[in-house]
Amino acid sequence: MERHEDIALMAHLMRRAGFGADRDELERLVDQGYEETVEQLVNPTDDIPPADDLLLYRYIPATETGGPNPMPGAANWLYNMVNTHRHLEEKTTLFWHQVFATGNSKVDNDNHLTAQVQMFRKHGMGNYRDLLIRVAQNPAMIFWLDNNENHKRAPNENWGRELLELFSLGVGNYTEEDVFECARAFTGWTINAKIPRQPYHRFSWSYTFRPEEHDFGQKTFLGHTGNFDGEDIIDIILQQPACARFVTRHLYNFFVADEAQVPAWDIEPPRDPDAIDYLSKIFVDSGFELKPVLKAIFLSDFFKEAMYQKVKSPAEVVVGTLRLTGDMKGPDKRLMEMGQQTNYMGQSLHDPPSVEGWQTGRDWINSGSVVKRINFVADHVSNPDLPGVQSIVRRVAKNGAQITPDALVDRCVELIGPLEISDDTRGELLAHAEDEGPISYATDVEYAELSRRVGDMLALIAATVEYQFG
Amino acid sequence: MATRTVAGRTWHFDKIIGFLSVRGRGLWHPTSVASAPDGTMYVLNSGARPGCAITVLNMEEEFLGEFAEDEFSWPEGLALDGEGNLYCSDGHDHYVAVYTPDGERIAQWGEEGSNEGQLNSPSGLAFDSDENLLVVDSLNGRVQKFTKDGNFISSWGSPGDGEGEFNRPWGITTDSAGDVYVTDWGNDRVQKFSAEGEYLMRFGSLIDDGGQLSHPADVAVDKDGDVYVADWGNNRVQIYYPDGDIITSLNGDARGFSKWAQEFLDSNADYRAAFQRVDPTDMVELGLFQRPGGIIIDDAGHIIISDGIRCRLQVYTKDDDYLVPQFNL
Repeated sequence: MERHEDIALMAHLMRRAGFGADRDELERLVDQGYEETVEQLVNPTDDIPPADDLLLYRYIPATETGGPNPMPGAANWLYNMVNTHRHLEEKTTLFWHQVFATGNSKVDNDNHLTAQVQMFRKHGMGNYRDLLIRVAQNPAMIFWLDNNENHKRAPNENWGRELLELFSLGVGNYTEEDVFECARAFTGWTINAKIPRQPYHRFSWSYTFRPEEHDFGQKTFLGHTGNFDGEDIIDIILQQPACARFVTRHLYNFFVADEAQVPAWDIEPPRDPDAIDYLSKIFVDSGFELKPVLKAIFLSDFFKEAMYQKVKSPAEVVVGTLRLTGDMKGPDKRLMEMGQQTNYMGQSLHDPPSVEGWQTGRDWINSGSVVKRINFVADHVSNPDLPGVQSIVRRVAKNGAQITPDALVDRCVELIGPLEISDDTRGELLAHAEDEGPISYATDVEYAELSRRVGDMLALIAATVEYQFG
Repeated sequence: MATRTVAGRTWHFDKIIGFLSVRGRGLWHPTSVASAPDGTMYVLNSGARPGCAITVLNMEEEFLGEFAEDEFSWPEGLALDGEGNLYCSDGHDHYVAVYTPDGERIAQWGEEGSNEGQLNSPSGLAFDSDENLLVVDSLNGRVQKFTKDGNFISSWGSPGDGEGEFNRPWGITTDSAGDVYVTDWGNDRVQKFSAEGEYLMRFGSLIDDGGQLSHPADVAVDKDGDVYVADWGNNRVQIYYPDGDIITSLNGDARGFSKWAQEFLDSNADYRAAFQRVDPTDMVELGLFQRPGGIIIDDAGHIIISDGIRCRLQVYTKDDDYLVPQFNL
């Protein structure tokens, strides 16, 4: 029983700090220890490899350059999520894409969305001040929020407003005057005209500061007055208690348990105020480093007690399924299409619906998306050709030469999660298993039948309410 | 015209051929190139998306046709035999296809596996002097020799990083002596072998002398024995003495437009205006290689480099008189 609980906790950690792990890896990590695994996730050593991007570009070159739609970039990212061994680095990348939501629907240069994602991958677990400056100077973000139209004689408030509302403080913690003054401080933070995309394919924008466009005048921002530029503004933002609380609430929402939707945060208190207080203090005391906060989350009791308190995002559904079943290892001819699966479930990577990102939690589920989720998972877990499914079948058949319907349900629920299911759900699964009776697997023919029965059971589990949570 | 003079040799940038087009006149992530004695060039458009696999053109940038539309999953290598038939490998589906010069597929051979004669992701192709086809059997980490009909003759190499071992090798060529050069993509080197497969030497410096390689894609040898490597991971072409010492690098000089590109711009005022807004100092980037994936030297001495992301060919020539440049003139 203790082993089961250890496996369940490790599976919880790997679902949140990564995209899940198969049973072999879970057992290896349990042997390694929970705290050591957290340390490895937060501080991956150089010998833990990321996905091999050059291998991808050799065989599917369009994923390097992007195109007018986000399809190649989404494929690129899916490849990284499925193939990386630096799990938390990749999960944190997805986290920042949700927070600093930037969409190719406007940017129309998907290579820059990929570049932004690569920046999150490289710096997303670093220092938040450093990250905010990088975001402010990121070409995709500059174009997305019109800072290239932010001139000293005609300030554009779009970037300044979202910096305060969605990226650092939240509604209710600044005034309209602060927005305007913030925008003035970022005038001149712009991008160079780039070589056009035709006739020789896409070139990159580069960030540039144009002093002639910058407003060097005095500004008053959040009670401070001075000749501020963008970095000064970010430093003042970091001094606000609301900033640490806002960022750690985002982290709690993404890694621990579903919160209210972000626009409601000025009226809805945090789900666990003590947790936010605890994380905020660590964030401030560390000088706004992300790693100490992430480590504190995964070692906390509130995290360990939050199993299945989050509805899985489409990216978690798709990548988790691919990793569980061992599909899409390395470059794959199906990658472009597979990269669209999250889109079909309501999460178009590189193309969030707005700068607010996606509505998460139970909003991931509607009558259309739930069918797509169930079908995708069921198609994979019932495919006996996939190595991860074969591994599950081998484990189901580990002892003896026959299995009862009761044991079939229990082993499948254990090996796909371990998943916590209600008595009603278990009863329905058992009723299905009993329809076909006990299974012998002493012969090759019987083993093939066992594979089918296991696949059917896993597919049924994928259709339960419980499986939608992670 | 850009030139580079090093060690008594001078390379001149000659011309740009092609521009971005998924179908029809133009190129899409070109890799391997083959040139017929009459100057007809076949360019392999790589990438896992529907489109024309092979574009046919010439040095005057005349579009002569296209074929093998949607026929390949991951086309990786091209080679022409003495009769003008074109051989193309498919790294995904593990076979070699044979086309007439007119683009009719007349044969296909190869099956997936690791036994003698079987293939696992075939990539670079080259004919030896006996008109046998050398196939880089990439995921099996070896080179296999076949007759033109696909009958197995011999093989050498195995997966690994030692001498004579390979990690996802890609391109291949032979020199006038019959020696064989293979780009060992995953090991950041080119290995040279005798015609029988005996390991001879490597290209790709082990010290920081400018001669290193990163994921080299293809290799060619000129009539003087100088060795040219498409240094795919570093976005340049490395040129070596025959003994492996580095001579110089080419980084790409396509600062203008090909004939087709100019015609495109002539009919697109928006793009012309967009080019005029670019800072001239940033225009240098226009000429640089981005993922050079193929390199050949044709019978006329043109050094033809496929410039993958930029969807074009960059062509150089080399002065062959080897006179010491008259710097005092």
